[in-house]
Amino acid sequence: MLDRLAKLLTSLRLTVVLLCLALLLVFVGTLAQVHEGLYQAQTRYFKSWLIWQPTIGDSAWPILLPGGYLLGTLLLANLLAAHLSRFKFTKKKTGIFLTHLGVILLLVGQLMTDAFSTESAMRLKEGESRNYSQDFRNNELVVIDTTDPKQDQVVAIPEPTVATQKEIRSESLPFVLRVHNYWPNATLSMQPTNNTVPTRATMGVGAGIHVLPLEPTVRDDERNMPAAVVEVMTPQGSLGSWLVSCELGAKQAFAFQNRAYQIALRFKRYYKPFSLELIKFTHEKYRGTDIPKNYASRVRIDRPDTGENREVLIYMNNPLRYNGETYYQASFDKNDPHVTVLQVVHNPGWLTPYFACGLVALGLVVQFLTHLIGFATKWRMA
Amino acid sequence: MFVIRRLPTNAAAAGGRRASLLLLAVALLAGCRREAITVYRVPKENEAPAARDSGAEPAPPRIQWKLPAGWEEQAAGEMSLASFSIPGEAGKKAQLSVMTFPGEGAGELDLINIVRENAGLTALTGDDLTKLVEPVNVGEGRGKLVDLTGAVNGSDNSRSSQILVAVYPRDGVTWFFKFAGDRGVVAAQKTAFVDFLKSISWVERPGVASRKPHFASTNDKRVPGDGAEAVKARPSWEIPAGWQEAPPSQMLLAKFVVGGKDGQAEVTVSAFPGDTGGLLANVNRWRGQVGLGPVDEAGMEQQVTRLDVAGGDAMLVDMSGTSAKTGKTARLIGIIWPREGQTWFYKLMGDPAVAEREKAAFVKFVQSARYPNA
Repeated sequence: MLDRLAKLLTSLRLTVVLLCLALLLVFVGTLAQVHEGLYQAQTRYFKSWLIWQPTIGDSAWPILLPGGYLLGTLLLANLLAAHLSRFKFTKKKTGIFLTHLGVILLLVGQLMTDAFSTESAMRLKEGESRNYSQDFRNNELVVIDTTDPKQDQVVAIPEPTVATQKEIRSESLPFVLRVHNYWPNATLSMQPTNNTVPTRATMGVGAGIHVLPLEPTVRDDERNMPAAVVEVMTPQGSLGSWLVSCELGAKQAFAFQNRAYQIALRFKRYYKPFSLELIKFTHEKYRGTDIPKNYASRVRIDRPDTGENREVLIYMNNPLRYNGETYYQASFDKNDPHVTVLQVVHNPGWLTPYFACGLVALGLVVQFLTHLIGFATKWRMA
Repeated sequence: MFVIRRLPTNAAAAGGRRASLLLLAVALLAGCRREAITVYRVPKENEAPAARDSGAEPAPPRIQWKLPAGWEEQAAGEMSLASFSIPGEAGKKAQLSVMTFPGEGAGELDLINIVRENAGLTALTGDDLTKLVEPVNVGEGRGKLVDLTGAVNGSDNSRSSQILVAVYPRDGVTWFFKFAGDRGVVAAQKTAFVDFLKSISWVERPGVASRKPHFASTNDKRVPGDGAEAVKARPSWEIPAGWQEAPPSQMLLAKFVVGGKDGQAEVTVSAFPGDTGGLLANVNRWRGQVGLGPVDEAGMEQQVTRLDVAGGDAMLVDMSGTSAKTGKTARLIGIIWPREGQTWFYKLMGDPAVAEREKAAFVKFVQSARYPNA
């Protein structure tokens, strides 16, 4: 049984079938962006194992399609299995070997990018300094212990955990968080209107506020603003329920066992061991138009642990690469000319595609030259 | 890329196959990863930008005050930050609303004229206003106190009532205190009102920022931002031919100018939270604008006709008289449409001939309204 499976895994037929399916996936996934939006389509079609009811044309079809992860993994396993079982390294096949190694590296690199890369934004006003960036999509529920006068201890709970678990426990928290309600996208209202639901929050600013649940957005230029009602349960009983929402402006404070805590639902943060201060933001437009000519942010890097303190200019096509991250000049605030928006990309595998493509190219050249030299030698001998 | 070849059956090849099966299993397991709860320490952050970080609008500043004896605090409306009821003798009362408007002082005259217009009074010029202004302490600062009904009594509507307005610009926001109601009550409580203004202090309390339903849209690239997306929700209409849209003044949602050889008329649209005093009060307010005296409930019933609009009924009134603003004969056709806790006012007012000609188009225009998030 295992041998039959292994035989299937090494077969060229599987390669052909997988490549055809990949072709189909790219086609379906690209068209699906019309209805589902770029991000949703990417997640559902390419960053998934299986796709149930893919959108083809205008309707969802009741079929199951293999997702990008499944096809990529199978292709990788297929290539590796074939190599390990039948490839015998000889000098003549160096080119083929290098080419295949390049393809493997490309696949592994993309998997790594997917698993470890993050994209976030850092929004700075002139004179403002910040040591974290915020995720474009993901949110987190945080409980911050603010007792220590120097440092805060943050317990960050990813939004999917809040969405799926009724009770959240952490060794770092002396209480349990009980999630009463969770809305993936909602707005808040002081007064009841059609379709609003009163929150059952008993503490904080949420008491008396009404939540208007909204359809989760799939548009590329919008983001969901989740909200939840969370009760803090201690061994001695409940401390009350708080409404938390990405739309709420502030963290809400409470105390337990002589320790001060704050609770909030916020955009997921990535903290850095340094801070960036915006010194000056310039935004030039072509005269008489609104077409941007150049934006540039002069920032100061301040890193207390190494004593580094220097100024850098970030402008279009000239990002700052620092601490394994790339800071691009991404946007600006339409209403405030003193605000810059930097896109922060952390991708530990950013070099792999370059390296992989280099290997493939080298392999093909070597293979071609091997044949050419072989042919030329034979021709001369003849 | 593969070269098809007979499968070798040696042990190494079998090992290779097993290794690839193992890799497949590992990859499958890795794909099922779940984000875990993380715990980390960060330096204390400066709390000031915290409110902004969440992507919501900066929360409006809040005020604290010392409540004068006898005053009752009421639930704040959507337009007002705070609201008070001040009872007087024999069931008479006055009302104080605290509102904020963006910008410092720019629209002061506009704001005051809107209040005057609503009270059936003629608009003031900048010079008129200067004469009416007296200084007043608002918290630790100096504001302006205006007795709006002090200048002219434009209509019957204003005789029994008085309106005091205090305006105070602070941090890019104009604070507007409207103290209105029975003349006797307002006069008796003027000192209390001045004391109240003096007692105000500002607290930068972070709170619920954005109240308008919106789709959480941030600016380019979904950047967490200060997003100014909460624009006043304006319905969409089918605008009749020949209507010229004009920039609306503050408190108006839309304004159109209709004109021809026979004169000119204006169509205005505004919306306010709650029932804004009820149908009778609003009909009488409009009557005041065309120089007519107030009517009672029975008199109003005769004047009001029901109008079918999307999702309910609206009230239509049609009256003619002399415009309190221009002194010319005028006709006012108004539609009051209570909807989802708000009252929408549509008003066509101007030369009688134009109003007559545009009445059907105006009614159709109102019926064509499609509200956002409806």
